[in-house]
Amino acid sequence: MEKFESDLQLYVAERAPRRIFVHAGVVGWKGRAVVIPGRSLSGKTTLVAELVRAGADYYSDEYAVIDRDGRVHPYARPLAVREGVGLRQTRRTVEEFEGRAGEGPLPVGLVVVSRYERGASWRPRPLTPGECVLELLSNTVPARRSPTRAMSVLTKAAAGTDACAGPRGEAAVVAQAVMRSLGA
Amino acid sequence: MAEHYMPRARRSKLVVRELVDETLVYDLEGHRAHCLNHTAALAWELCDGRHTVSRIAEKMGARLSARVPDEVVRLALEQLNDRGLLAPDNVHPAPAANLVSRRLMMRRLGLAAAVALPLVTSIISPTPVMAQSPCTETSCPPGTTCQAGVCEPEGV
Repeated sequence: MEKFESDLQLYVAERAPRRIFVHAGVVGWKGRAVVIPGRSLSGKTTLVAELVRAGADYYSDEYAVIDRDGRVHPYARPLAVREGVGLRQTRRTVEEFEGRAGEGPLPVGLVVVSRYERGASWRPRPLTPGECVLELLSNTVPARRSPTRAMSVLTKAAAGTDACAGPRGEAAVVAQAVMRSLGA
Repeated sequence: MAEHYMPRARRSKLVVRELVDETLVYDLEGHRAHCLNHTAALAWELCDGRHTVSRIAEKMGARLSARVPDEVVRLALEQLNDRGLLAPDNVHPAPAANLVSRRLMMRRLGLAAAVALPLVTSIISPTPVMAQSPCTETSCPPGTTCQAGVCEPEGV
């Protein structure tokens, strides 16, 4: 059942005609979306959960669903937390993190490219808009099926946003830094 | 031979998006995406098969209001060629010695050039499964293995 659900999600993510699905965690804060692109085990869900605990609205821990104007829509399924033996995924509702789900589409305010590394300090380097689009594209489900549309949508999403990249240690430290950078 | 070389950019089967200071290029054949910084993008734009490296450097200098050494153009061409962004029948005839001394050249130009060094950053466009990002054999923590996209305890 889990595999069927995963395949179905992937099918929709690749073929959605009016949205571009980017593998990413997303939260909303002060009317802007914080997008955290990344593959599995990069620590997206952990960072999203920390941001939600810090007061951000939960949008997704799986996909940034972006429309043709570059705005991110909620995809607020329960968070897939890895815990226990084998780090199996367990679904937890946003309420379990004392947070709430966002509702409307948001323009992107910050893109954070990060991967958990034990003991790493958070010293991100800024990304140029072009580098930001490449980072988003490298996590975009229909990148090969619809490259022209994906490039157009991602360019709009990245226009005027800040973006940074670097390894991170504990998620709580990064969450505080992210919130501060957005005027918490 | 090299001084008469007139590079020509590949223009087919590419999706190009121009940003303020960069140019994004998606290669529809190789499924790679490239980000050209301003200097690299300018060099690429001027590769029309009618100008030598020296002439391109002059034209870039005029656009950037700064002296642009030929080496900057060669450095751009080397990267553009590596990424398949020059016409396939118009290969850059850079002597091997240039490649060996590239790091030294970059250091020298980095200190002397009034313009940013050309830079082309590239990614391989992911397949849906890559973007969906199941675990891989090497991504699971110690004591677990990747089975059907999930890190399972070894021996299960």
